[in-house]
Amino acid sequence: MTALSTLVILAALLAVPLAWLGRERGIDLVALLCAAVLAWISPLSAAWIVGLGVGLPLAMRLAQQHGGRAPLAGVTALVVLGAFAAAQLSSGIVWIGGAFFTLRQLHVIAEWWMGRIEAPSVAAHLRYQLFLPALFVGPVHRLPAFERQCQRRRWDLGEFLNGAERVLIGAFSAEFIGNVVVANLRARVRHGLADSNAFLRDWALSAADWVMLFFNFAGMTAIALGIALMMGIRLEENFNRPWLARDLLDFWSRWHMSLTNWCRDYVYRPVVALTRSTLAGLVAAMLAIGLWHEISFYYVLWSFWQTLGVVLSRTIMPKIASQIPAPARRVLAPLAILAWLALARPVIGLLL
Amino acid sequence: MTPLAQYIARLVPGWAVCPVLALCYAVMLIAVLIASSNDMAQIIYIDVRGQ
Repeated sequence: MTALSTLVILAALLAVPLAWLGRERGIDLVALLCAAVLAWISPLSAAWIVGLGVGLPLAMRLAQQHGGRAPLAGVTALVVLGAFAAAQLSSGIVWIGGAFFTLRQLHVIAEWWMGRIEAPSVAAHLRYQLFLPALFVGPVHRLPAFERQCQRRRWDLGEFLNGAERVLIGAFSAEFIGNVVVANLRARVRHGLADSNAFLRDWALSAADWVMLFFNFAGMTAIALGIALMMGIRLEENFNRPWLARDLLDFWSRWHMSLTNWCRDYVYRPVVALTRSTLAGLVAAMLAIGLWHEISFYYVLWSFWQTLGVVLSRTIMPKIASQIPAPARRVLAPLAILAWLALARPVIGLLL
Repeated sequence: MTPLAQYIARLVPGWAVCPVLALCYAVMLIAVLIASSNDMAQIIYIDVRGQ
């Protein structure tokens, strides 16, 4: 865990008592604390998130009254995406929560443009965008569900303890299992394969990195969801036992689910509706997922690799899998998925 | 009961649930405190960039 992320987690834990200072205004106080913490460690992030958090709802109301819903949605979506790209491509800027903020912001713009939600109030929008536990690690929660949770939340000791336990288990998963146990195993693999073929070594290390990433990211998400639960808010889950997946598509619907669902709703479905091609939708969604991680040629190739994997897992793999007994399939499927995911790095390394 | 307490209750007799749960919490907390002193690499999903 990096120092800044630890700092934000500690601030989120400190925000728990604030959230219970008032049922109505408690989450507003959490947003205020979030803005203060952001302003302290990354003034640019604070200015961007608060500026858009205040400006967008006001602009939406103006557009609702005077027309111009589509142009405003288009321009703001481009501005948000442009800022995201600029932040990703420029080095030396401390940028906190920008990637998740961008997805949440685009969700609000798209839902408003399609008429599914009214323009949120400034307070509701800031409350949503500046929810400290989910600021820098997700999930990419949705505004209507979040508002419902804010309105319905009530003190429940059982839920509070469930949340606290989840924070501890998440920290244990990220810090100890991921960063100590798996990291040590990875170091042993690296040492053991020091003299072996570079491609095989990179493949094995890439597989170890995926396992470590799972414990780190699932653990950090559990911390965020646990702190939110301590505040009486149940956010969307991000993982659904991804290593029990039957194939690669199933894996991606269980891993970082809030991102996958976002891409399904705002990339895959619109592209399929426009092109009548599920393959085009899949390529676009995978590109969005890849470039969200990092804007680079590596991630463009990574997206194509994942698309190829999904296509193979739905065309050729069922024929192969049908010849394998069901119990063996259950064991082999996660291994095959991990092997494919890990193979991306050495293969792309050869291409670049 | 928390999820971990429910899980432990399935494995040990009723009187042992609280001590085992407390032991689990203590072990996890100590492990986290020891492990968090290490300087760990940044992972891509943690959106704290450009440090």
